[in-house]
Amino acid sequence: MLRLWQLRRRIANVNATESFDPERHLTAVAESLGLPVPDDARAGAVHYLRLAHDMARLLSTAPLADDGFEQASAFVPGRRAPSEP
Amino acid sequence: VSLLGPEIPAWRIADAVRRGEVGAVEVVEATLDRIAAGNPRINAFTDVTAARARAEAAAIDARRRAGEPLGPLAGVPYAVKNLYDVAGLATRAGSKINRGQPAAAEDAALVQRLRAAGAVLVGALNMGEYAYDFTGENIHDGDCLNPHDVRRIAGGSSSGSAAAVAAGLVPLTLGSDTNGSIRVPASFCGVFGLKPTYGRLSRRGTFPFCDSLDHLGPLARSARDLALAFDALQGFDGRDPAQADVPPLASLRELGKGIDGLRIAVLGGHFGQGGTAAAHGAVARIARALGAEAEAVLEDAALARAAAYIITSAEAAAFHLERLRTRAGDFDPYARERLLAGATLPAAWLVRAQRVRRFAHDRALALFDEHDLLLAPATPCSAPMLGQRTMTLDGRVVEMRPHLGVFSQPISCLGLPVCAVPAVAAGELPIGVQLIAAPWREDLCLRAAWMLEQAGVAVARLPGGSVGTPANR
Repeated sequence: MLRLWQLRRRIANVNATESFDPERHLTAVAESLGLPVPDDARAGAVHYLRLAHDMARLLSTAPLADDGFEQASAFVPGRRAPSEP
Repeated sequence: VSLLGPEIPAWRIADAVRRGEVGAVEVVEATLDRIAAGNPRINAFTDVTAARARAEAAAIDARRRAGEPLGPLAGVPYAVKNLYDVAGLATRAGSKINRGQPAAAEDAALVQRLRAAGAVLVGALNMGEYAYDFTGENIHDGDCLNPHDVRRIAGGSSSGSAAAVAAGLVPLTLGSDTNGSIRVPASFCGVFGLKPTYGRLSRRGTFPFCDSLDHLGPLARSARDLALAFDALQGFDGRDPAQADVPPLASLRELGKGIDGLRIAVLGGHFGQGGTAAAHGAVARIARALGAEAEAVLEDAALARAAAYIITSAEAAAFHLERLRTRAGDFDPYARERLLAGATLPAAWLVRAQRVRRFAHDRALALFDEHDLLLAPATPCSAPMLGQRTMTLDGRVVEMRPHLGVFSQPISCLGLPVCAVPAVAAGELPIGVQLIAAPWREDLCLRAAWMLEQAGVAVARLPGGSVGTPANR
């Protein structure tokens, strides 16, 4: 099983030039979204954002082909959602 | 043995009601008494629909007296996670915010199906807020406690669904599973749980968590009850955009085939390490009973888990964005932190995660060229203590909450059907094992689960150790 510390080691060299500051990212994007971040939630949100960044960097290692699909979640024309008439 | 006792499985109740050995009203009254007596200890129910249950049961007894045919679940009491719409109740989905919403006008699709099969709804069940939870802790309704040790968590987010069944309050419940929310509490509470193939069952009338990954399914103390319920729950609804229009399985009648002809392997790699000795020991016991000697590796398990993490964070946060803007103080603090982080994820991460999900799924299908069933731990440990925040795995202290789904999350990301079965070890807390099949082959999971139950290797024991008599199992 890939533990978090192993995951971090595995992706350490991926996009090595990318810098990601979860605090700055959270502040900037939340402000753009008009999303207040309560003081008592900030540290936790930063923690989970850092974890998400680790996961995203791992995903960047998958050897995807350009002709693969699933750019969007499944969308089937002709089917209605429950709330639509 | 009384037909009104807590150990009686759903299939036996339905059989007795159809034969007139016991009335549906008698069954429901005994069930309501048991809930009144037993629920305060574990806090599994948030609503008890006593008047509705009595009316549904009386209608079944009237039909039997009139000589009309009764459904396969005639008179079986059941309850649903409180994210299912129940006509007349607000669909709280474990939250404070939703309970201010108007009551549901009609039942969820799966509640309608169980009612049509003759089952009797007795209430709605506790859960982690908005299903973003593996613990069953809930600051709004109170924590749902593990019936086997009330100092421990029931697991989530379908906490009440597992605890109510484990305690013998009802024989059957419905839950939901996005990253493990049926399998994790089933493991901790020692019951059977089925997460069907993604797209198998209609989700109409349930409050979403993450549309791309949300599944619904049953929990019970018997694999036979899972099959009985699963057969009744199937059917194309046309109102859930993710539901596939596939032929229904008649899984109940397949149970007798057991594991004849099935090629069964144990998943190594990601799933073969990183849990406690109890978790891996449980897999070894189940593998021995199934004669599984081969090992298989799901190469992209870590990728699938990462994809599930990103998809869940981003979709759930986008769905709750307005509530986060206007009602942030009314969220559970743990859910709120993750949702706030998820709201800021770049779109490129989400699209990448969807593509990796497809990539990992397509590669995983090759495993089923050589194997029919794959075995893996359901959780890395048995039920942790309430309020616990860290745990030690492989000699390292890790955060508890994100790790509880480490073995369940990759499987639901790929949409594969899984039955979680309770592995029995004398004197130990329950712990579950996943029986995983190719898409649309829930019947294989259930066949193996039933075989293990009959062999006494996977058994849902009531608190205190009783597992019921063989006749009742």
